[in-house]
Amino acid sequence: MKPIERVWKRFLDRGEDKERKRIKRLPPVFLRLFGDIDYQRQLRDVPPKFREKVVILTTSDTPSELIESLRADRWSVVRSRDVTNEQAKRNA
Amino acid sequence: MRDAKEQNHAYLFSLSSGFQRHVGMFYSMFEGMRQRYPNQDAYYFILPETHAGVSLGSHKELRTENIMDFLCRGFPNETALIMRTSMPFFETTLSQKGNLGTTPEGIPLGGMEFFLTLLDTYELYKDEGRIFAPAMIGITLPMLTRSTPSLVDFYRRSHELPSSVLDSLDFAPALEVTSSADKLARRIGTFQAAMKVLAITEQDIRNLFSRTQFEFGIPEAFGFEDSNTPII
Repeated sequence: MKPIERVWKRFLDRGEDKERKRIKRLPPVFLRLFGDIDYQRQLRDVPPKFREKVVILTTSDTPSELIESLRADRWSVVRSRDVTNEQAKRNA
Repeated sequence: MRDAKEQNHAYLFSLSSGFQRHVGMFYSMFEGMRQRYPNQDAYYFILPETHAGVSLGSHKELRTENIMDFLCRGFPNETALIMRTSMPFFETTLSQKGNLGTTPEGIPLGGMEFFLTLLDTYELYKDEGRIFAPAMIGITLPMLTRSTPSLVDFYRRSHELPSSVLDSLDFAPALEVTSSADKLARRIGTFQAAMKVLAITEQDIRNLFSRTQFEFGIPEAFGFEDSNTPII
């Protein structure tokens, strides 16, 4: 087994309890879902075990219905005070 | 930032869309690096789609003799950034596209919010006769990407990573509108324009990065005792 395979296996073989404690200690991840992005498709890519660490950053003009729908799906959402969708697209 | 501070987090992790499938990998790298280099102001990632010339050995070649080359290959960015909540956070108007002008081809300069905030902060400190030099770790991850099929092919051909690793990376299609070539042109123009506007010299850039170190991600992240052990 190559060294890289050994370290990768060590990563995959971590126990679940140890993993949960480890995840709890990690900093929150602020995911910038700005611009014309398919939120649902993007969020499907978040590994389930890190779901609770994710805080979704949206633009100041993200429709309230979308934010409510994300919150209904138990996502943490923070709305930007300044950045609009148009500004986000320009900065992409 | 306000949210993270309110919840008493020492660090926050800022991530661009498209990389969320790799969040576990980023966290692992952070944990490994934090053991080796504790209490840093920022741990940021050097990625093929964000930086120029990223390879398995590129972290060893980062020198500040050629400032533009150094910046293109190692500038701190917010694509995947874990930073102390006490750090200045993206608070500069320079990053707004167009405030620093445009390239001859008409590409508006700007973006790079974290880097430009660091430059802005450096300039403020300089006015007070102090040097702003945050302790940072730039972590090179040549295998993480949102797109770039040629890069995926490169790793498949080179056999540097086992197939199980490649499969787990599960490369996603590109989401960004701006091409990599345009981005590189924009970055070089932005570095030059920002340095001019803020009267930042090449020596200032060296000072700013005097406490920044560069590492290759994988061995440290998995507790490899000897980081010099060849992984190939």
